[in-house]
Amino acid sequence: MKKLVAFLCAFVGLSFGSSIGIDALGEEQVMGGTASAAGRGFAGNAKTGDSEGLSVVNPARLAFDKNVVFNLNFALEMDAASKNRHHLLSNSLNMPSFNISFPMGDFGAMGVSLWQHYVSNFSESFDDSTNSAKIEYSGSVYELVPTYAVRLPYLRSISLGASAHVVLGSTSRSLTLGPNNENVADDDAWGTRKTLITEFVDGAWDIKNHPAYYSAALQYRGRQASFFFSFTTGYTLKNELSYDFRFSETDTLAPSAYTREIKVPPMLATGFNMRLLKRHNIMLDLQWRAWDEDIENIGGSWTMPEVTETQSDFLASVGYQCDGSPLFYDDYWKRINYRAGAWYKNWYVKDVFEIGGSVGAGFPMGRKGTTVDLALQAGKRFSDAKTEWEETFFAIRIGLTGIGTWGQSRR
Amino acid sequence: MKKLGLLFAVAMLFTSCLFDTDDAGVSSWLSSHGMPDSYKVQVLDIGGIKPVSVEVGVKTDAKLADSTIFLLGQTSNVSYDMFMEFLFSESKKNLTKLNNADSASSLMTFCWFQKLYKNKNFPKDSVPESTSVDVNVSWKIEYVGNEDALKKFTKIKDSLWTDSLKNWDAEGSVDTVLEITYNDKDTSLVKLNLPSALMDDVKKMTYGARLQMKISAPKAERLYRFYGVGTKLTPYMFLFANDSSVHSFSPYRAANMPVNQEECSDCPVIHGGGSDSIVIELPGEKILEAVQEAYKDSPLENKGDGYDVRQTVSLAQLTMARNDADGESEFGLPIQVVVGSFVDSADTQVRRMESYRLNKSLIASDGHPNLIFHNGDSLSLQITQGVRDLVNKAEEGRNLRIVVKMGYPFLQENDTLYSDYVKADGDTSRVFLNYFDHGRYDFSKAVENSMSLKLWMSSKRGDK
Repeated sequence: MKKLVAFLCAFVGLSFGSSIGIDALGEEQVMGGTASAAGRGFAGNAKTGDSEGLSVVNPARLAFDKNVVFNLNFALEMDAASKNRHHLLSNSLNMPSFNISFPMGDFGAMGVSLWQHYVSNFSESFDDSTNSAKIEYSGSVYELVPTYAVRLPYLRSISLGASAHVVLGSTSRSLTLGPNNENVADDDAWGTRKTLITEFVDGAWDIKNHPAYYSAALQYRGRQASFFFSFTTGYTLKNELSYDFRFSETDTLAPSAYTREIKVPPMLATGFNMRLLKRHNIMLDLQWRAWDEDIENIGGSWTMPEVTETQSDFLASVGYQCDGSPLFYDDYWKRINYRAGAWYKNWYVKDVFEIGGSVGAGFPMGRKGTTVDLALQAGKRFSDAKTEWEETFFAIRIGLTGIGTWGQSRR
Repeated sequence: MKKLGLLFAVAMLFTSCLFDTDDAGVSSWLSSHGMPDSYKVQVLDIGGIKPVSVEVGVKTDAKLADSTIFLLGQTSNVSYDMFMEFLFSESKKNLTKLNNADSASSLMTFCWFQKLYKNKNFPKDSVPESTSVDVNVSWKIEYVGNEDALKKFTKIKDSLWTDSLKNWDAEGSVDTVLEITYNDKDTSLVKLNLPSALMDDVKKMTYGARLQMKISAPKAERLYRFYGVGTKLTPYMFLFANDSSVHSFSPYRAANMPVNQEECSDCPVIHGGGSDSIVIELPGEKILEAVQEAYKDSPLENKGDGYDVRQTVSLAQLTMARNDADGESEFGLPIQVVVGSFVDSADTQVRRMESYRLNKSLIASDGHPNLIFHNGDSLSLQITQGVRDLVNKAEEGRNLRIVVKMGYPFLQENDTLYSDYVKADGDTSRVFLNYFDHGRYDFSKAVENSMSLKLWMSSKRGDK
């Protein structure tokens, strides 16, 4: 597992994305960041089917799956941040989640997800004749989410599900600056000319006093309407950090150890899906988390604020999906899942909200149920916060879903 | 999948065309997050620093001369004695020849260390002149009856052997004269006729012997350098029977032992050669007070189990008075003073040698400031790591200790390129003469007068 996480960290380390909340937790990959959910505007957690797969928000949905589902997601996001006519362009390539689930008939279904819940990857530098600076953030809060769901014995249209979220991952910030010799006499400027100093901090993520936090959900599936309700416990994220001043790779100061604690409040989520004319689905999802404590920033000193102020974190999303025909001999265009959606999101960062829209499709590959999901997203993150820049983003998400019938007997 | 990859690339290209990071963007982003785009540098001048204590470390331990220079003679109030260990193991035939000879004698040869004397950077007026030097040869011999007994001596560790030389208790001692002649041939050598009493002792061996020999010339007017044991031009002892050589032996090992002849043992005087040092303890409180005064509060802010280091020392330079007339050099070249600091490391203090940052404009006009035996009357030493450690810990009552030594003779006083390089004419410009000058330097003037410390402080403090 450590090797896998190391690989993922290295993979994510190659990229950089949104700078909003970068000193706190970074960008949240909502709903596991799956391409199928993204295509319908991050809605559809209440939508059930034979092979919908695992939802990190609604663990109960899994109970209605009939097939083994393997799902791997990639996200390419391009952010153009701007403030006061200055611009920063960045690209990020992430792997928001990796999911696998197994239905077990009357015994329910189980699955596991590796979810990159928060990602903070950002790297910018400049070098002119007098100064050079480089700022690098690299980190992810990963969650390993084992899930179990089961349909109730007599009320078969209702399922219950629960999942544990085991937190993994690491984070680092490196700020390298050159000297400002404005207040230094010309005769003394040689003393620090071209001297670069790096303030480096890194550390690991964990949950305080507990191995995991938990989600529990109830799902109802009707002939046409489905809905779910889920509750996720609050928890305290622990970030054990080591601060260091570096003059070179071998010339460093003794590090200071410090642990910041981030109290993440409980989350409520609900969703509704209405199936019309067999293959048309309209869906609405809501999730809400009331942050009542600010988040301590990873770096300090200068005139940096000590904390990132928070607000209620709220996501409202609406989506549409036209299910493709399950018959492989139908016309290919009829077999494609078509999706569209839009969302409004209050970030956990105070005075930051996001509006976005997306279109997507699920392309069946061959006869055995493999699907490639594609979602195109665009939107804007608005900010009234002093420190945060507004961002326009465009994202492409690709999901690879494999569907199998392991353990299912032919009837 | 290739098509998807192409789609990714096109999308990235597309957005790159739409937007671009402007040059001021990063600076502006840092600013909006409360971070500057550079460290604020502030220079502090701290004058009136008087050393709290001065400790002189004069090393008189014997050091192996294997594969290195073998010294004999005296310079700058230090004489250098030669010690050699021979292990004789020879056939009966040759021993019989030696014992039956009407006359037997022995001779030591030492090859001049031409790597130094013929070095193009070596001052020609420092080449040895022909003269006679009074030397004392003393020895002790242990006879053995078989090879195993002889091999036991080879198992004595070098460090034990050099330690044993401190208590030299000779069995025989004779004063004699060494005729010094020098020419610039690569194999040019000097010969020392060994005393007949020594030869008499050697002739007593029946199978083999361990001979330890000391040669000293405390009244020599200068220091002579020869190739050490194990080099191509190693010293040799020749044994003659009736004027024909029957054997030649190279020492199994050899060592030099410095003998300090300074009259004042407490004076802050050190000698070249890399062994002597002077430890100067500077008042930490005065330095910390100056830092605190500059920032108007404590240098440290508690954070977790350590401190938030809000400022640090980018460079620290200590300047002290010097008077070259109180010193003495062998070659007449400037000598670099090397400096180290004692810094905290895992509940103890370790010595770290300091790096050297170049003040190019000063070097071009006045030469390197860390030299002795050159123009000027001050010596500037960079002690960045030591002061950085002191300021970062800011412990009450802690002082800063630095260690000062004489380094190599310096060849490029005004060259700002501080490394060897090939010149336009194809010749190589070298920074150092890579052999020690065994001169002496008196730091009395430096430690008796006030020193000044200049700090270049880099800060991540915000505006008040």
